[in-house]
Amino acid sequence: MTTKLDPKKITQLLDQSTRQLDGEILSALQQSRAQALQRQATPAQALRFAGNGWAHLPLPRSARQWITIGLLALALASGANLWWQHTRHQQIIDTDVDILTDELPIELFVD
Amino acid sequence: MKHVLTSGFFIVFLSVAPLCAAEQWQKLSPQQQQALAPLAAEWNSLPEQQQKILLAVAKRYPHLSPAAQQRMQHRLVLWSNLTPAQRKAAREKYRAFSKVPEKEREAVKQMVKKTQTATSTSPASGVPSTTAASAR
Repeated sequence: MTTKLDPKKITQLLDQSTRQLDGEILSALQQSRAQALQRQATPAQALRFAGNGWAHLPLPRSARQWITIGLLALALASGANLWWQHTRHQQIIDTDVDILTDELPIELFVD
Repeated sequence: MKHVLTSGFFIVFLSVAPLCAAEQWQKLSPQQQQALAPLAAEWNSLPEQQQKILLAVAKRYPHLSPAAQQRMQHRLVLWSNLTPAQRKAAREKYRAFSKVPEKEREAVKQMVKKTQTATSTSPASGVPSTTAASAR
């Protein structure tokens, strides 16, 4: 027995049967539908950024926006470079002061 | 657009600024000159990067003990006469030695002290004796 189910017909049948339902049952059904939809919405929102949510982020449109983003990236890179240079410089200074003032003779560390 | 370009130039300036720091001996402060006195003759011919490091080292000079100050001044010429590669190697050796447990480091120090006392060419501090220094 193969019956082709037309979605439109099913909707019509369901609408007809709901019209026959008691008011209380109808409101209870509506409430549980709303609750189910609410439960479904929460994890969907949480997953948005974990999945392809970043694809919705707006891309720069004008040349000015691209330049601004480029400069920001350049500033970040320069800042990181300066910080790295400063840290390295401080390490060198610390070690030099230690070598120059240590009780052990400098010749011990020089080839 | 003007603001964007101005900030761009500022960023480039910030990146390049630390490279321009060479200073003439005459322009150093009296405190800096005192700390780096052994290098007075050769200071102007030292590479900029080395000058920068030495100036930072000189900043700490007033906070050192008199013995450490003396050691530093005696070692400055030898240190600055080393090649960058030799200094780099010395720093690496020193850092590696610093990681050795305190007990073993102390044992090495004692051993060096004993050797130096036995040969009596220079005291345990690593500072050459007055006669040795004046003989140079």
